[in-house]
Amino acid sequence: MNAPRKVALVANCLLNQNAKVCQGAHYRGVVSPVVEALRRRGYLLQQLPCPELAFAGVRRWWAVYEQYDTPAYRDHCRRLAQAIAPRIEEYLRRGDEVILIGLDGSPSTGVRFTSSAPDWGGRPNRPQDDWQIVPRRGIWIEELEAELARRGLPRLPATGWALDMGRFDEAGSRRDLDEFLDGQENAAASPREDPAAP
Amino acid sequence: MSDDARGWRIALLLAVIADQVAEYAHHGYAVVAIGVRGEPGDGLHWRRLAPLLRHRGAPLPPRHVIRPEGEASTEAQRLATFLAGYDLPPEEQRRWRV
Repeated sequence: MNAPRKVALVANCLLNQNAKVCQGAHYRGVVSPVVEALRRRGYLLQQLPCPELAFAGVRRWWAVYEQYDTPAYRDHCRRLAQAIAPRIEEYLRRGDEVILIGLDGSPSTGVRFTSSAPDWGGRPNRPQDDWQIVPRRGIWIEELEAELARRGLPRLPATGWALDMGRFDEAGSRRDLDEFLDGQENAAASPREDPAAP
Repeated sequence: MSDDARGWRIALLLAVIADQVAEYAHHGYAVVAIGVRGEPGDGLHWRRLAPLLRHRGAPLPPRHVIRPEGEASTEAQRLATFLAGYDLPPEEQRRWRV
């Protein structure tokens, strides 16, 4: 059997800022601090699909969790999850270490935090910062994790790059990511059970 | 995993990719496809992806395949030449770029 690998499932827009909602991009193309941190530690990168891009398009408005929390969008996310889950399952079954790097603050790809404003809707004329950051998964991550659970797979270690938290703090985001990845290395150095064992 | 199951998995992923490429192309992005020799389907699975793009009315992006066995600077130059040599047709540029 081949040696286990380190695989990072990466939010689509962390590898392609063109996928961000208008005015949401902070980098030209790749979010290089994330890629550098992962590559430095030997991770293979597996880009996840962007559910918002394929659902609402490149010219979509900004939105919060509650606006994307619709049966149609959840169904769309489930279809994407069903497309990518077999590959994730393959990684886990062969013993690879798999982690998930999402986008904190995103209504779809948030891991530790998502954006919330229960009264948003209608004409998009809300003032800046008129939303809350709440500790919750985004819709896409919720549906992806549900699909993995349906397949009997363990919950993946996950964190988010805090790009959609209102005021982006790159230095803080680097520290968070390094801390998370260091924690993974320490956990991997300890004896553990096969995470995909039945 | 059986070949059928693997084929179905790839088909689902390619459909997702085709949707995203079609969306970019629809809004005037200059899209290129870059593969890696030695990967299954050169990493592009072009024979399967191209019909999906046609079905969505998206123009087929020009392709370039990286040769991992090649010398890095040569491959970088090949890629740079490829990228510099491609853009949207002039009428599309006029439509999308002010």
